[in-house]
Amino acid sequence: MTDTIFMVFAVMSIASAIAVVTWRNPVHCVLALIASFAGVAGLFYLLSAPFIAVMQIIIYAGAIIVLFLFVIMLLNLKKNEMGGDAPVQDRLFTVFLCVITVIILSIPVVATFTGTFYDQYKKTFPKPDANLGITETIGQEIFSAHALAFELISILIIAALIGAIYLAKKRQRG
Amino acid sequence: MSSNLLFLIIYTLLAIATAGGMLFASYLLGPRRNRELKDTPYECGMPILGTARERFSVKFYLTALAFLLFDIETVFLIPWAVVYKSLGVTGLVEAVIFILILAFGLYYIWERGALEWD
Amino acid sequence: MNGFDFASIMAISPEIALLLTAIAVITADICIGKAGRKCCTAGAACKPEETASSTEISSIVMPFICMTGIAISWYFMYNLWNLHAVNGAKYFSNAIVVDKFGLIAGFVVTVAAFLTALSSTGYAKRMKIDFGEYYGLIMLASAGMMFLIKGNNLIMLFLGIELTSLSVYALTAISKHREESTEAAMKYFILGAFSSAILLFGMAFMYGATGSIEFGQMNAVPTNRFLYFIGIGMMLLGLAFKIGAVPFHMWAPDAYQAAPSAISSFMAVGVKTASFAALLRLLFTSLIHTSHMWYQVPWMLAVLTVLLGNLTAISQTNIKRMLAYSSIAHTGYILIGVTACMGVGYSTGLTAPMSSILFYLAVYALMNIGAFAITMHLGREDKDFDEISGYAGLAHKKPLLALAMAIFMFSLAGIPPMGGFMAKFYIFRSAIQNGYIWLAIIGIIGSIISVYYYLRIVVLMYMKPAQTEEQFESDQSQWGLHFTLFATAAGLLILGLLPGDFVQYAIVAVKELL
Repeated sequence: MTDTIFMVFAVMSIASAIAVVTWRNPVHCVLALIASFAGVAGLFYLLSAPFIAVMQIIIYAGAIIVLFLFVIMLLNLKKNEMGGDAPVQDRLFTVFLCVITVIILSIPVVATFTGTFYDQYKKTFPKPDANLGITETIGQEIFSAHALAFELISILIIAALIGAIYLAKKRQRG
Repeated sequence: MSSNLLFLIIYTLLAIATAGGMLFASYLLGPRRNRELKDTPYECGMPILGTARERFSVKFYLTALAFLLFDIETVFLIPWAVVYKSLGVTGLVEAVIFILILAFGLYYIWERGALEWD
Repeated sequence: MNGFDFASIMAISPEIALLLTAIAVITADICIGKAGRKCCTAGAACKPEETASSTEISSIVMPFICMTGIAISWYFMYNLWNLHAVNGAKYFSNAIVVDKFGLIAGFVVTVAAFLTALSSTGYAKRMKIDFGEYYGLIMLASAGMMFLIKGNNLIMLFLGIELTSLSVYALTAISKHREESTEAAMKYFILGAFSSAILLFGMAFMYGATGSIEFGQMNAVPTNRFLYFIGIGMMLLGLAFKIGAVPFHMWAPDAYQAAPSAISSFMAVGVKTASFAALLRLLFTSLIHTSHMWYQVPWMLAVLTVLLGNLTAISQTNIKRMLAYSSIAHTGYILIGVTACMGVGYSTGLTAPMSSILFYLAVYALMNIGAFAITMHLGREDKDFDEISGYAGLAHKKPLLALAMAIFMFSLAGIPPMGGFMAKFYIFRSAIQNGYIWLAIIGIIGSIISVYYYLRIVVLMYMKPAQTEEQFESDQSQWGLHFTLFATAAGLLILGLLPGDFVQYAIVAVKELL
């Protein structure tokens, strides 16, 4: 059961991610990106991290996608302004780099969950508590162990807000 | 876990079925008169000038940006709301500091006119 | 010590002072602007001179608010320094640590912020960037650097880096009417966001391998070497970007050239000091037990950075760009010190190289801020004085300015009796003591290359005639810059002639870290 659902979410996120980079119409790409984020959210849920899954939906599929769409509509590039396709060798090189990155990042993950390493790993890190990813646990952790980091996040948002509003807003003096 | 998941799946299927059913019903029941004039935005009146795909104003972007940042604030307050009772006064103080700092952010964008439209 | 008790609040009091200053300076800007508008709308006709006077007031008041705030944070830092009970103590569930190492590095950062605010008194108005945001972001960036220095776990490290970086990206684009500023900020932002993402990814791997995010706790031998290895690699990559080490230096020249000089120097000094402090804390409190996995990285970065930074600086015609490459080269010298920390018998041989790094960062702060202040002083309208050929004949028109510039250039090149010489001397000596003679030789070769491009400016100033008569006339009252120049030049001479006291402080501080 869980395996089937995992496959659905995994295929959904990867297929729509491929659609994001291959489709021609930028707005369609953004819609595909939403599907990809939703798939990733499903994967987080399967990993018993429902809070992260909801965050993924609210922040990524919700707010950030709106920003993406607005940028696309803000620029609203016509076909002839997009500058045409990149040369074939560039595109092949990009594919090559992607494959290399995937391989490099897969090695530790595969190595962790197969063979002797996995036995060691299981010994040192017992299977995490099923309650680890739920919102209550996260709330307890944030407000006790990471209280300072929590307050710093608000400062970080303020810095982002000031920088962004300053740069985006026309300012008339006085 | 698995029962939760089952509810989620049922919910998702219901949502898809509702939305898809509405579309399908309107396709089935709605009248269809395909004429060129029917597809224009104004059946009578001005002929269309140009396309609807105009460049958006940067003001939309400012609003979306402020929305994103306060959205993140909300997301961080969800865990607080969930465990509010067991955290007690400490949690309340921490959340109030968090909100006060961000209230300054609201004051800032308000005074800088990022919420005005003109 | 988990919650918000008094001792914990005192432990972050310097940072709180800086953050409140940021809020105060922006509020002051808003309120004064509003008061000006109110006068304007209340009267029958809008008088332009009234609104002008309100901007005048805010552009004078804001730097003073900043300097006051920094002075208050110095007072709190002084308190923490004297409070023997808290030395090396950890607060907020071990999220931050207060020790003398962090206090010295934090002092260097806040001195940089103070001098930036001081030299902005007339400068910001001339550059048309005298907004509350300018000062507010400087304060937010310094608070971020302080948290970065004090952070004792990976989350604080990341939040500190992000707070610093976000503020600095926006500061790079602060003169938004200039296209090249926006472009450089965009480049800096995209590359910086990538490096932050890689850093965060590395932290996730690190947590997966060690099961802890706390600096002291990650030193257990990892159960999963693959995850640990990739984690270290990605974290070092992210930090190497922040300190501007070759081959992750591409953002630096564009950003330093396009940003206003006050911001370039603040960026170079503050970000470098804070990132190096965090790097040292991370490497030598947490990762030293697995140094066989990464001991190759620092010396490789050091060699590349010293050679490439110095060689590229030779061909520059723009002094801000040249100083950017020189700052890359100085990163390289400091990396030689980092490598020296890993020399034989590190538990005994660590004090000398690490204290010399602290000393180097302090000296570099003074000479870099001084050199950028000269370009601010001579600039006119909304431009900095950044063409190297324009410095010809400066000594005949403005002998004092030329003397200050000569002091900074001699110091950057590492010629005695300036502070720069002593700083390089300590670094190279510790490298030789810890068995890295060849690395010290590479560093010395780099310094010899650098003498060429630094002294070229001195030669131009003293031995060439001026191109035009009035090119060195500055059009603002610049007492803030005069004070900055005097303070940095005097500081360099003092650190060069009597380095002993400061080095003693640095040694005390480093001993506490280990």
